[in-house]
Amino acid sequence: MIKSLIDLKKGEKGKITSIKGGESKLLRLAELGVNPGEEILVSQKSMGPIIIKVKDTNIALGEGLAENIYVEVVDHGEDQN
Amino acid sequence: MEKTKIRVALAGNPNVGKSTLFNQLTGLNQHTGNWPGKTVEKKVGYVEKDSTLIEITDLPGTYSLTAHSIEEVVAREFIIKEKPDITVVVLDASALERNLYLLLQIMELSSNVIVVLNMLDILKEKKYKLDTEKLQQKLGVPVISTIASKGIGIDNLVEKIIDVYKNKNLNPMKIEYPELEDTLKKIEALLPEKIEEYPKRWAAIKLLEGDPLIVELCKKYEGWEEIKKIVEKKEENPVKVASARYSLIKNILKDVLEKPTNQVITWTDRLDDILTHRIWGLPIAILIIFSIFYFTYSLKEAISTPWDNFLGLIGLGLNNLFSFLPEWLKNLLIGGIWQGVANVLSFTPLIVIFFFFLALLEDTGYLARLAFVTDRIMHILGLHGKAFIPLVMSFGCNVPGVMATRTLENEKDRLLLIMVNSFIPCVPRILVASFFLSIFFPKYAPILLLVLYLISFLSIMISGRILQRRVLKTSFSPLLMELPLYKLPNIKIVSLYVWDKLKSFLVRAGTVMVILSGITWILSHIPSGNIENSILANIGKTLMPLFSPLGFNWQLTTGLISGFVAKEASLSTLGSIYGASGNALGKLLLKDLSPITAFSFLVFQLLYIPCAATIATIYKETNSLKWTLITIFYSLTYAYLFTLIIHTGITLLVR
Repeated sequence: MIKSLIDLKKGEKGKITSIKGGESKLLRLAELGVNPGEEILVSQKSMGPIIIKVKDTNIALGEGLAENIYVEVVDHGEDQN
Repeated sequence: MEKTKIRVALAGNPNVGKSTLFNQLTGLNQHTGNWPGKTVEKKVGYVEKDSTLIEITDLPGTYSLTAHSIEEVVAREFIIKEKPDITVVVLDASALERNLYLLLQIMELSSNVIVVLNMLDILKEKKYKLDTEKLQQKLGVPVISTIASKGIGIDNLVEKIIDVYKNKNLNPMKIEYPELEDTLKKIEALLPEKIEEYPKRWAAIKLLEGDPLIVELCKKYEGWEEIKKIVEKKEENPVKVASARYSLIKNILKDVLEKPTNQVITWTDRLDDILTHRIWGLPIAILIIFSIFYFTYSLKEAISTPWDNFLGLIGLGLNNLFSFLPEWLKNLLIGGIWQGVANVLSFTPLIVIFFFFLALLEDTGYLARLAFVTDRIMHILGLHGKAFIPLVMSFGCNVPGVMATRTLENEKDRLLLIMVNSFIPCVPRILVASFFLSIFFPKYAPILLLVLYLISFLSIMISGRILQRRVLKTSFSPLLMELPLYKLPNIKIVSLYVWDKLKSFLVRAGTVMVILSGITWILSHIPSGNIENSILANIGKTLMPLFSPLGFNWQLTTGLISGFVAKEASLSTLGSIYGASGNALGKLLLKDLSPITAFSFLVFQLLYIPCAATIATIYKETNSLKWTLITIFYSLTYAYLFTLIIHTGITLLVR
C-alpha cells in the first residue's frame, strides 16, 4: 500500500516510490540518500518533523517535506512481528 | 633550500570528522578568513615534514557539488579553478554508500584523489565488515584509514600525500553510468570543445542535473536549443542521475562491504530514543538551554566585574599616560576611542562563554537534535528548528545571536533570521525597560515586561512574513538535515572554535564599533563639551517633529540616538541631560513624561535599530552593505510604525 511518509508510524519500514517537488528539492533529497527506490525506516516521530534512517544515516525531515514523499510500506516494525 | 610545496584540498560531507582531521593535521598552524566575496568560512593550514610544506585548504562540508548552495559552489570552483595538487576526500566509513556520492563527483573533476576512511570505530560498533584493500583496488586511488578524534592514521596520511605528489602513481577508476551514457554522449556532442575550465563530460552531467550555474553558462552556445530538448524533462533528470550514481556505488561496494542481517542498536540510537522523544525531547531541550543561560550569566557575573574593573584601570592609566596632550585631544582619545575599544572588549567574556557552550552542543551532536525538537514551535514564528539557537542566544546579546546564524546553510534563510534577530530584546534593553517600568508602573512592572517580550515575538512573526513576501521573495525552507552521531566533545576542537569566533568578532566587528562610538562621542561633545547644546542634542531637537507623534521629547530622542552605540547608553545620556541618575533621574522623568509616553518609549527602544556592535556583526556576517542598510532601515521603520499604532491606540482608549 502506498502512503505518504508522514503517515508511517515509528518503527515502520518503507520503500520510496515517488517524491513530489521541484528539481532542486529532489536533488537535495537525493544527495542525502532520500531517492525513489530507497528503503527507509521511520526512527522517530514528533508533532512536526520526523527522523528517518536511510543509507546508514539519520535524516530529519520537516513536515512539509515528509508529506510529499510517498512510500510503499514493507515492514510494520516490531508491533506486528 | 627551497621547500617543495604541495597544495591539498580537504573535502567531505558535513559531520564526517573533516574539521577534526584538519585540526589534527595543522594544529594552531592555520588561519581563518572568508572565501572572496562569500560569507563561507575559509580555513587554510600548514603541515611541515622534512623538506615539504603541505598547504591544506579546508573546503566547506557538502553532500554534493551541484550549485544549490554557496558551499557547494565554493568547493567545486576551488577544485576546478585552483587545481590543488591533491584532493583528500574524507568519508564516514560507517555510512559509505551516502559518502561515496560526493567522492564520485570529485573523481569526475580530478584524478589526484586520496580517500580517507574515518570513523572506523563506529563501523566496528555497527559490526560491518569492510575490505579496504578491495575498495582501494576498485577505486584505483589510495585509501587511508583514520580515527581522527584519537589522532590515529594522521602520519600515514601525510606520508601518502607526499608519496602521491612525488610518484603520481594513481590509476583512478573510470566513472561510467550505463543508464546515462547515451544521453551524456548526445549532450557532449552538442557542447563546444572548451567550456571555460570545466571538463566537458562533467558539464554534461551537471546539465542533466539542472545545475543552475552550468545551465546559465551553456545558454550562449550554439547547441543550446538542442541540449534544452534533451535536458528539458526537468523533474525526472536529477533523480535519474542520482539513481545512476547510487547504482554505481552499489556495484563498487558489492563484496567490499558486508552488513549483518540484524542492525546493531548503536549508542546514537539509544540516546536519540530519549533526546528526540516526542514527549520528553522538548522539556529536556528547554532544561539544557536554561542551564546554559544560568551558567553563562553566573559565570559572566564572576568574570565581567573584575574584567570591567581591569578595563577601567587601563583607562585611568591611559589618562595619566596622555596627560601631556591638550585636554580635548585627550578626551577624544580616552572618552571616545578607548571607550569604544573597551566597549568591544567588554563583550569578550560573554562571547567566549556563549560560544564555548555552542561549540559543546555542536561537537557532541546535540545541536542538530535541538533543531529537530524545536522545529514545531519555531513554525509559529514562521521559521524552522535551525533558527532556534541563534534566537535563544540573542536574548543574552544579539551579537552572538547574529554570529550563530552561520549554522543555517540557506543564504536567504540566514538573511531573514539576521533581520528579525534584533527584535529579540537583549539584556541591556531589558535593563532600560526595567528601570522605566519600576518608576512609571511599579505595580505592573512584571506583567508589562512580559508584554514587551510578547511584542518582540509578535514583531518577529509579522516581520518574518513581510520580509519573506516583499523583500526576500522566498519562504523559509523546510527542515532537512542529517543528524550526526553523538560523540564526546574534543577540547581542541571546542577551544579552536571559541578562539576563532572571538578573534573574528574583535577584529572585524571591533573596528566598525570603535569608529561608530568615536563619531558618537564627537557628536555629543562638540562644540562646547556640554551634551545639552551638543550636535547630538541638536539632532535630537531637530528630529523632534518626527517623534512628537510618539510623545517623545527631545531628551528621549537624544537618548535613543546614543542608545545606538550601546542600548544601555540611552539611560546614561538621559542621566547627563537631566543631570541626575538613579532615583533622582526617575523623579525628574516622572514629572516630564506621561505613562503612555514612557511605555511608547520602551516599545520603541525594544524594536528600533540594532546597536552598533550588532550592526557591525551584521555587516561582517552578511558581507554586504546593502543588506546591513536594509536591516537598519527596516527596523527603524517598523519600530516607528508599531510604536505609533501603540501610542495612538492607547491614547484613544484612555480618553
